[in-house]
Amino acid sequence: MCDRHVQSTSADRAIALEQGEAHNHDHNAWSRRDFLVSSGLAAVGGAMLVGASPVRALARTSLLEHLRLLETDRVLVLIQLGGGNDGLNTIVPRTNDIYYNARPTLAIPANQTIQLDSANDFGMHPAMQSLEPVWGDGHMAIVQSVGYPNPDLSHFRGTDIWLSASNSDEYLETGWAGRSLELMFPDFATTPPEFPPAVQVGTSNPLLFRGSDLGYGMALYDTELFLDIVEGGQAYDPQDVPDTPWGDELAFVRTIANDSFRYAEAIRQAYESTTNEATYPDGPMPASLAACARLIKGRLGTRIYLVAMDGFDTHANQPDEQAALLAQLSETMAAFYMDLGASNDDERVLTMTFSEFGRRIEENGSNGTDHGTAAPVMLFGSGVIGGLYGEAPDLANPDGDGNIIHSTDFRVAYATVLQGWFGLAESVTTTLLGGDFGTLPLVASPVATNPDGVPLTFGLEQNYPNPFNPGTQIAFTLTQAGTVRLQVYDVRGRLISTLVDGNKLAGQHNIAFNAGQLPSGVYVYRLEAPEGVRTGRMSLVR
Amino acid sequence: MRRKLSIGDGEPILETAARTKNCFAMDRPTFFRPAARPSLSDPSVGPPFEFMPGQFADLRMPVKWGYQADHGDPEDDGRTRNPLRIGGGLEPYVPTAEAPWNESRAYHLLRRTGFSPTLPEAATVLGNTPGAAVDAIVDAALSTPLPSIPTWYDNHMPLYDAPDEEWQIYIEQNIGWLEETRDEVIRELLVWRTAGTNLREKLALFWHNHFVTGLESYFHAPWLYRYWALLRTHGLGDFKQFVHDMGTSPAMLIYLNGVENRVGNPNENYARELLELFTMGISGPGGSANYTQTDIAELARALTGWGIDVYGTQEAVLVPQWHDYGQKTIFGQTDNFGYDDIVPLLFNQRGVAIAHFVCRELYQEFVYPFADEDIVAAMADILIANDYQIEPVVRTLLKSAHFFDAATIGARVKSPAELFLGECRAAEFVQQEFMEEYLYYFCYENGQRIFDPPNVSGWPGHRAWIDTSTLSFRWLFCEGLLYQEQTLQSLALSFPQPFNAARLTEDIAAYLLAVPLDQELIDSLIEVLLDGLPDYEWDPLNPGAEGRLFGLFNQIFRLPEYQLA
Repeated sequence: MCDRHVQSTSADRAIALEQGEAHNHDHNAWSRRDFLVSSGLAAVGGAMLVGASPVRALARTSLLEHLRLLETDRVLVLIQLGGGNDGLNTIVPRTNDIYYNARPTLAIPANQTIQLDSANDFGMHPAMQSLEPVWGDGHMAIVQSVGYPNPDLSHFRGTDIWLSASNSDEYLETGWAGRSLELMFPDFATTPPEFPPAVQVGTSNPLLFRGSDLGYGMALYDTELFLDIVEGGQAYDPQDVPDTPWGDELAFVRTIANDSFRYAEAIRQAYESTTNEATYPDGPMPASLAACARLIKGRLGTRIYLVAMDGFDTHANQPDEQAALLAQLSETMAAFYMDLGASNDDERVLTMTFSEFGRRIEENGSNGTDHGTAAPVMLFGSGVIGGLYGEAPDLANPDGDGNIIHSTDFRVAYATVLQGWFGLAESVTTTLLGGDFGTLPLVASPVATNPDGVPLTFGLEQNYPNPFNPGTQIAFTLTQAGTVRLQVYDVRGRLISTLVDGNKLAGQHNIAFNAGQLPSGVYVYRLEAPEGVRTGRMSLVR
Repeated sequence: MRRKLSIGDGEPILETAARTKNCFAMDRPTFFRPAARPSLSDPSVGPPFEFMPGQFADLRMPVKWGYQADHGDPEDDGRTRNPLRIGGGLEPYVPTAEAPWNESRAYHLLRRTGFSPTLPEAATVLGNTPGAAVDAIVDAALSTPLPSIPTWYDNHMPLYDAPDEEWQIYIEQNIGWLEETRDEVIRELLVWRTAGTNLREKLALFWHNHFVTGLESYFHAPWLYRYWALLRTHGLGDFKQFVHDMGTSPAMLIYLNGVENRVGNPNENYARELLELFTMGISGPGGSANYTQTDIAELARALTGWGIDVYGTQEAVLVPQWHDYGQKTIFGQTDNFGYDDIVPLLFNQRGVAIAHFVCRELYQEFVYPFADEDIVAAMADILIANDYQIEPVVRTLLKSAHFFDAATIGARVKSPAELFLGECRAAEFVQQEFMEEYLYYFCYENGQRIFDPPNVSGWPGHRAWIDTSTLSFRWLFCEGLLYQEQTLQSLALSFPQPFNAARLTEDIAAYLLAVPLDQELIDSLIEVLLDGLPDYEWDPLNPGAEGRLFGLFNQIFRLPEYQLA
């Protein structure tokens, strides 16, 4: 099918009267994206210094590769519907006269919608028919009227508020996901994992994955570049340089840059270890999600993916444009879960859509809708309990601008995911989100958290100190008592030492390891427990 | 976002660049802390060093450094390299329609004579003719007063057999003095928010890489200060005097064993490097050898006899009984040469070779690492004609059509100092506590350990600065610095059209990068700045603009183009 980006630049994306010429410029400027790494593949350096000598990032060994496949981790995929998706025409209040009166030309005829509830008060846009079986299987949840107090109708602010989970009048410089990843990767700064904690494709704003000190995301602004990288291509072309001294030096730096992307190797390996088992629609966003599916199935280890999709700013020509976008979104989600389901990975992947705002209840004079407020959030995956949540948009009592007043705070959706999906405690999400906004019971398989507020999660921590010589401590946490084994291997997979082999109680355990006369190098420690298998690596530096 | 940078205590830790965050729990003492001083009673340790007859001091505590670079030859990358095809010679650059006097050239001048330009500097330069702009930069370098001498300038180290407690106090004090010097050097290089004087400081760094000494060998801060003062004083001055004074700088006397070069027991180290690295090089412009081993041995004898008044003036002293007063034959000339005879001898006998050697280095610093030998020869003529005054050569080169030729713009790989200090200036960082220490550390981690080049031939520089490790570090540290910053919005407002996202992006790219990007890349950068916003919503005053500017700056820092100046 068409490339959405091409379509979004086309002249028929006419402008809303109120915005005038500026808006036209805007849309003309939305040119095709090129070849840009955003805040970079190298979010965490291509190399590390171990002790005194610089070494290249360690190539993954077959042992690590093998061990890694045993790990299970939950993944959150965020789909950003950039521009402000019209919620009323997505989840249609098909029995509400106010809706039909406000939108004489744009309203979706009731008989065309896809039935959602037994009362048949709500229906999906007909372009979303590929989600009908997903809904039928109970793998799709819709939270209606999601927004926040004192909504901001600017794309600029609206996006930042959603990404940072701030109040309307609050300017945060960190993203809600970045703050969460900070907790999930406490040693990120000192011992970064070999995979990016988060990946974002199609958007350059580092806000979502920005923690208080660091960015946790690998941002690939350009979808094509993302695909190039995962497929083993080059980020920068060393040949396409001018035939000048400057060009010579640029070619030199580009060659080095291509080799410097820290995560490129891990990404390629994960990508190449699997294939897509479903057919995705054409277009950059589906292609990105197809690539994400392979990374997830290939056990890259990344916790959160953000894939952005543009073009929802439908001030004009809304019927065709939104239908095409919703069709693409729906077909992509259906394909994504079919793809993941083929390897049972659908159980550990939850997807959530969001948009900076919904659109005005009343249509405008140019076959479109203007900026609005609350809108539905959609969640997908076999880990969700399907159904409609939240209150229906109250069209009879709009705000002063004719916009929907939200009934569910957007931070409820975040808290639901963070608590139910990632197992963060309520007290933790309260801190992360700046308040206790409550949760919705829509996660089918929530992770248990202990009552103290600190989630007791099974895990193996980075040894400390690291690098070490000759002694170090390895800590792990069990959520239940059981038989565990903690062993140390060298990088070739040879067993060096068995540190623990027996029963341990729930809680944290610290185990000392002394390297004795072992030579300098990287060693792998592996924890086997009823709850799973975890590995870590440590560096002995003599 | 700007936060006070904190310094943690130092475990030997996995130094990933991600530790940019809090300046990496920086292990402060690794910079200047000497190794443990061996016990005087340990028979395996040699005697303390005799600096003057009967005056002993302890040099048995070399400074420990963490980083040992091991680079291959980056120039040997198998790629063919274009010869420099530059039209102009040393005649003054005259703006033309093809080679206009514009931002690009103004930034070029400022990048090569300093670090990244600031907007006010660029405006000042553009307000002048090219020649007047160069004169202003060189004149400022000549006329700006040196920083005032520190109070510890004449302090001495304890007697070698002083109690350990006294040594401990000295070592801690000396580390403090070294840190003061480090901070002053970085501060002077940066010239926070003021314009025009850092050519002198940049040249000091250049000459540091010419007359190399390593702090590791001498440790004592007053000697470092004297050495650096020479680099500042003579950087544009009389090269003969520079060579003369450098040879009796305590730092150099210790680094290249001049203080151990004594009658009957000569040490050739300094003599060899004086010829090979500091003045004439192994071979002259015609390719013939400039000296023989005999010349070196004889030269070493002429240089014998220097001690250091360790417990007094801190300066070098000629100790008559250590000097070899015999006849020496150097370059075929025979006489009882002493120290003061050597510089005239070298310049009289090998003046042309010296001029070529030094001018080639200046050319490589200011223009391009692969020297145009015709230009070098013309520069050498100027140097000789001016009796080895450096300033006229630099002035002529900077004003030349050759220097301003488009082909030279952006064709040098930035040194770590150029990269990080340049970022601080370009992004108008606010001066803050420990900033100098961070910048020093960033350079250090990227292979430029100021005060301690890897060996006497200095940093190879240029392409050797970049490999897959250092490039990743460069990206990270650039991003890390950006996290210390909160004024990108006010910087954005200094551009002519900050409310026009496209124009602002173009201007910022032109400001940060030496060579214009193609329109496709510019368009992508505009999208990075807008990040999905319609451009009518772009508002540099909106608090949300800071994050988007961050994204734009960081994106530009990641471009391979940003590594070039």
